[in-house]
This record gives sequence, structure tokens and C-alpha cells, in this order.
Amino acid sequence: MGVGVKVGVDLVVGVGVGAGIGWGLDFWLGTKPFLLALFIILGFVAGLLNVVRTANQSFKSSRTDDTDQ
Amino acid sequence: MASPLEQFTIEPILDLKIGETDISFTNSSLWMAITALVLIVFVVVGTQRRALVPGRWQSAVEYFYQVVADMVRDNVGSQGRPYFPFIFSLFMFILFGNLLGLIPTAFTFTSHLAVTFAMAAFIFVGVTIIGLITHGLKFFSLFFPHGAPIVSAPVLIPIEIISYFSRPISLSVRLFANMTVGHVLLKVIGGGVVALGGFFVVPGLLPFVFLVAITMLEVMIAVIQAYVFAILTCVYLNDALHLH
Repeated sequence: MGVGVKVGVDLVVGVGVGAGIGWGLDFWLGTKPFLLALFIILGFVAGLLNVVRTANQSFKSSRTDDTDQ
Repeated sequence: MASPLEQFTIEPILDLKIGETDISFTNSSLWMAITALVLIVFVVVGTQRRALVPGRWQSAVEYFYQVVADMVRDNVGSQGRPYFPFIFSLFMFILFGNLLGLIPTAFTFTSHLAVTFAMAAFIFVGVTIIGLITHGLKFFSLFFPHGAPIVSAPVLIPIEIISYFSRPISLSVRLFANMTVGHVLLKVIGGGVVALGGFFVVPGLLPFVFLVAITMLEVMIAVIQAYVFAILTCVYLNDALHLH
């Protein structure tokens, strides 16, 4: 359950933050709705990046644990 | 039967108000105070005698110290030493909060997003300030991956910025979601035991066995989530201090 929650949260949060930034910029620059759409896509990519980074990290730490023992 | 979400209600114990702001002392604050108190007693009494050959209590405190010291050394390096007291307090506070929250009738303050997000936001702002102080404007090179072609900057920089801003949210949501889900699960299965006639009759015994197993799982999750919170703080600190 731990890993699943971790990956799910990472992915959803990326999209959420991207949408938030896009909405904010749209509001500020008056370009509704183009930046929102763009930043949701970028947010999805950022979410994937987060997932890859956490996966790499846990992979790395589990490998060093193996060599220690 | 009571709703499984009822255990998360915040109830004011002492009504306090400054102007329009409600700063009542609630059951959440009470359990934070209890956690801090238990933590202080645990560490202060444990380090009272400072024997060369530690007793049981002193060994326990030294074990926690060792775990956090190793975590800071492995993830941040020697530059992380000044931040050890903060990471140690953070880890112990979350760990004790999670574990004390598992006691029946206790309130789990880590199951509230307001609490976990306050901690995560504090870490996020603090780490950003530490990065800006150590590296000045060079800190912003964190938003551009090392060695990527400069043409890709307009795409990569927004992605890195979103990834950076999602840190405090995923950090806080992870702890909050794990604790909330765990406690709802315990309550639902506990309700099942009562509905089937208690744990001393055959149909109620089955969910009771399951409840015991889930309780053990929850103890494990309480420890793991505190550890994950602290280790991610170390990772973010490492990024700010070393930039890549």
C-alpha cells in the first residue's frame, strides 16, 4: 500500500500544482484558458518526473542496503 | 453506529479568541502538547545518567539518535550537521504523534492536512531560504537539469518549477492520507467486531483477528511514514545545499 500511495500522490499532486499555476497565470495575464491547458500537461510531466525520482531513490537506497549486509 | 470519520472531529477544549481569529485550545492541540511532553520526558530522562554502558532506556534514546544521525549523514553529508536537531525533533514529533494516536480514544493530529501541511510548508520555505543563502542566485540553477541542451529550457524550467512546488503538497498529503486511511480502516473493522457480537463469539472473532493484524500494520505505517517524512526533508535539504 505504501508504494502505491506514494506514486499516486506524486502523480496527482504534479497535475494539481500545474493546474493551479496555469489557472493563476491565466487569471493574472487574462489568457483564459490556454495556459491552464498547457500547465496541466506540464504538470502531468512533472508528476511523472516525481514518480521516476522517487522510484530511483528507493531503488538506490534498497541496493545500498543489500550491499551493507 | 458512529461514523468512522467522527474520530477526526476537532473539538475546542478552551475557547480563545484574538480579535476575529479563533485560537481555541482543541483536542488536537492537547495531543500535540501530550506528544511534546512524552517526547521531552523520554529523551531527558533517558539521557540523565549518561552511563558508558547504557541501560535499557538510554539505549532506546541512543537508538533513535543513531537512526536520525545516519539518515542525515547518508542523505545530506557533513554539511547537514547543523540541521540535525531540527530533523531529530521533526522525526520524533511525527513518530510519537502517530504512535500515541493509535491508543484508543487518543486523537491523531497527523491525520489533519492542516497540521502536516503547516510542517511541510515550513520545511519548504526554510529549505528554499537555506538554498538562497548558501548559493545566492546560483540556487536557481536547480530548476535547470545539468547538461541539458539550452534550447529545451522553455519546456524544462516550468516542469522543474512545478515539480519543486509539488514537494510540500505531496509531502503533507502522503502523511495525512496514510494516517487517515489507517484510522478509518481500524474503525470500520472495529465496528464489524461489535456488530458481529464482540470478540468472544465465533462470527465476531474473525474480524477481531483481522483487527489485530491491521493494528500491527498501522504501527508499522506510523513508523515508516515518520521516517519517510524525515528522509524527504533530508533529500530536499541536500538539494538546496548541493544543487544536484
